[in-house]
Amino acid sequence: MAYEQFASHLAGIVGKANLLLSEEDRNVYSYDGTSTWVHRPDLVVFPASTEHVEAVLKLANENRIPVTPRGGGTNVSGGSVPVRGGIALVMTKMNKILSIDGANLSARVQAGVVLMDLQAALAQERLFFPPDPQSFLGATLGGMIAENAGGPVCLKYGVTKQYVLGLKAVLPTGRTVEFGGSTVKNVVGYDLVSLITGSEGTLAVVTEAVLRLLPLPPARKTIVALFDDLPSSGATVGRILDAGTIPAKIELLDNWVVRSINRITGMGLPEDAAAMLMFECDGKEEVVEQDSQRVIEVCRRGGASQVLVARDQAQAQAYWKARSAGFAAVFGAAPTVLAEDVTVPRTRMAEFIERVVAICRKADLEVTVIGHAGDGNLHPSVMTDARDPAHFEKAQKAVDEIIQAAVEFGGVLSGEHGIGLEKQKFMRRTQDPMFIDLMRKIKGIFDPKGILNPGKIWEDGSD
Amino acid sequence: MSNGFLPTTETVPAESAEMVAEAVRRAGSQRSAVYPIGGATALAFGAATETAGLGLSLARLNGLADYPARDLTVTVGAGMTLGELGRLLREENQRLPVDVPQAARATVGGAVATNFSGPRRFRFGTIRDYLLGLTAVDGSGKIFSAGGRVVKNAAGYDLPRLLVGSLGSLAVVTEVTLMVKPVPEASALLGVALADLRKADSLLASLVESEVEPVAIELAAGALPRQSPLRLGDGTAAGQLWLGFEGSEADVRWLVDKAAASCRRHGAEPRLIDGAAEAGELWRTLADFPACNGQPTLTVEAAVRPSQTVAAAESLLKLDGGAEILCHAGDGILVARFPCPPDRAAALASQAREAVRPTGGKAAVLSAPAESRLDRSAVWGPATEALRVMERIKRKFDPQGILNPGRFIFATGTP
Ligand SMILES: Cc1cc2nc3c(=O)[nH]c(=O)nc-3n(C[C@H](O)[C@H](O)[C@H](O)COP(=O)(O)OP(=O)(O)OC[C@H]3O[C@@H](n4cnc5c(N)ncnc54)[C@H](O)[C@@H]3O)c2cc1C
Repeated sequence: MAYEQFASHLAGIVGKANLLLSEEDRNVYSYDGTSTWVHRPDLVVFPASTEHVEAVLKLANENRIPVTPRGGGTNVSGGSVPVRGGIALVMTKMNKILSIDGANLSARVQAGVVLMDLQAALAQERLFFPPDPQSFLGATLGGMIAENAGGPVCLKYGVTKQYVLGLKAVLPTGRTVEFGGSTVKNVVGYDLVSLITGSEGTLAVVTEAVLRLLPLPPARKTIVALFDDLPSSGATVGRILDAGTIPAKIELLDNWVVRSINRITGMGLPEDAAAMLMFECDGKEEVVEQDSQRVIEVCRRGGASQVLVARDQAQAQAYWKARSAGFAAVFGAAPTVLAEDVTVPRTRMAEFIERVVAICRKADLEVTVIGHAGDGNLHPSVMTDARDPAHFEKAQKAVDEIIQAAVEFGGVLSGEHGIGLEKQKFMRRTQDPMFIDLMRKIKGIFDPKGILNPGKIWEDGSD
Repeated sequence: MSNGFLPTTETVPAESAEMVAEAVRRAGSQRSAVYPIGGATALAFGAATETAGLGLSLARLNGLADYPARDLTVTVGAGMTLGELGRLLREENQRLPVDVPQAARATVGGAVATNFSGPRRFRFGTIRDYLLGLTAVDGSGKIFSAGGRVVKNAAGYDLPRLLVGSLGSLAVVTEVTLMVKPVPEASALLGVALADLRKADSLLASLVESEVEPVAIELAAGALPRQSPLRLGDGTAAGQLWLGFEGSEADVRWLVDKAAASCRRHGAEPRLIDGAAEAGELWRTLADFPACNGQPTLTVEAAVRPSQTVAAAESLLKLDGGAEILCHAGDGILVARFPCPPDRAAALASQAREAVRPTGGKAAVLSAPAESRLDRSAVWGPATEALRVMERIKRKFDPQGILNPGRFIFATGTP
């Protein structure tokens, strides 16, 4: 079918206003949070209903046109870059919270609902949805489900997967299927909700989700501790968790981020601190008080040079904002930032970071490491410039070594950001070929013509 | 029939993943069925199957492969019992907080295959929330590994979770890596007798208001509250609510006091069980309740929205006031056991399913007398619209349909 004819069919489905064709408009949907991948879609479509999604996929499938689902486009693995062209299916107009059921601690939402909007609505009912990617201003529930997103509080509460009860999803052939349901337990059949969650938009387009919620914790407290050396901060994290205290968050920031926080906020943190740990304890007031005391004590005993306790929520928020700003500065510090997402056993975290620093020092590269320290999920970010081939190659080689080291340490190459395009060359090296083979077979079941988000997760020229 | 439930011609032990793979390949070349067997505690679970085949015992695949305790992970052979695993973990003051019935015999691989859970599911989830990675043998006899040994992993499709609850119909699990947790300092249960089952609803609502955070909310109904060690008072109560608390000594004391006060405001005098031995026995009783007890009974598990738990329990009791019912009320899961001669099982299963339907619930049979030979639809109920996708997944993992044929949701002979 000719392009114009195909476009007019699409306009017939979603309406002209929900279809973008100009080059300028399409450029906007050619990239995501990853700085190294750009590819323009041929058409940009905004479905407003599950029926729209059905009809678009049916048409695309018949004509073998690639479809790349997209939420907020904030992912950092190239997941929503339409590398094979075709349709960018942008879910952001399906942004209704359909119901909130406080008695059953659940909510039904459309896939394009932005996390922050959901949290605001839930907070009014004293509820919350735990997974908290730091991109909450833009990340959609559909994107979070596709990436099985995590965030700081996942140490205590777990990742997105643990909070999805049911999905309404459209298969690439255009058929809508409900997976799971609104009960906590699904008594019959395979757990396809867990299969689709984390499948990076390669198996089905999620249009609605039933989410599990929790009551909002009545109290919380933030503690910041600074350390002169990395190993002490790593050991401190271990000691806190060994003692059975599980704060909601334990975030680790390195010297680069500490200095960047100082520059941005003038907080006056010690410029030579090797590491900073940020904790948030939440729960009932009494428990928060007790847990915070334990955290402070262990930090002091563990050699922290300074321990700051937020006096109230306003100050706590200022600390967390400083953290976000400090980290965001990473992305402005170089034209291209290779942000990794490895997970290593938490006891080897400090050792691993030292290895990362050594790798980059040897190659004369600037690197910074932050991470969700409680679960060993670290984001080493190597600064480079894709337009400078020699430098870029050097940086990519360092990243290879970093990932190799993570695997050597008993870890994995992605903790929460997914594989997308960015990590796929490592899949074959680090995963059992049989596992990749089984994934491809599953992909073939859902998507026989290979039209949905093609070119992702595993390296493959054929689909 | 060697064990009353599975038509096994013989049962052979496997001592390694390679031996499992070889046995599966051999069976495949003879087009004979393979029935993986762990602790043999859940063979009554699933539809009756008539296809003769090989019993493959995994009980000797029970070694400890790796236990980096401070990383809070452990890797063990699928044949290790949960009891043995618990013992190993306790040496490091850790545990797997999943209540699997008959833990002394049930194996880790069996727990993955059935996804059985118990009271503490409310706070801690099921084994799927702890399963980080696994090694397994698919229906063509190929060994594969998926997932990892760290607590957070977003690399590729979640095949470990796909195998959870698949009742050995996709692959034979040979090794698993689990996330583990520190043992809490203290554990206590607070029991309240209810003259009227309906009282449970308002009591539960007020507990939520008071920010009491139990790890388990168990509601016993029908004939169950009369049985020791659950029995409270004169044993005439219509129902019984058990709240489980775990945490630091101080936490648990605070929570228990607060919950007790809430109960008293509702005119119910709670009984506290906090001695280690006594609380341990009670937790075990609650966890073991779903286990097949060898009596002529039908045990059904139903899932409803949590707010419908009491209504669903009442509907089930209307079928037979003598039924024993244990609800994980916080999760809307009910396990009901009916006295039942073999020839009544199919009809009763269908009545139970009908009974919970108005509350939006679904139901599956956990066990029935062996002679009742329940078929697929009696055990699992009507097919969902996702069945077609599931059938195709089954076919990819097990092209000849030799793994546990007929026991799961598919017609015998699928593919
Ligand atoms: C500053 C910053 C901080 C971040 N912090 C975190 C963090 O703490 N933790 C974390 O886990 N991630 C984090 N991320 C990554 C990212 O925000 C998450 O992966 C997020 O869940 C993506 O959501 P999205 O709506 O932007 O999805 P997109 O980026 O638009 O898409 C992500 C993937 O989902 C697919 N997809 C989107 N919608 C659907 C749908 N409805 N159906 C099927 N597939 C769909 C896409 O095809 C793509 O493969 C961060 C990113 C940034 C830029």
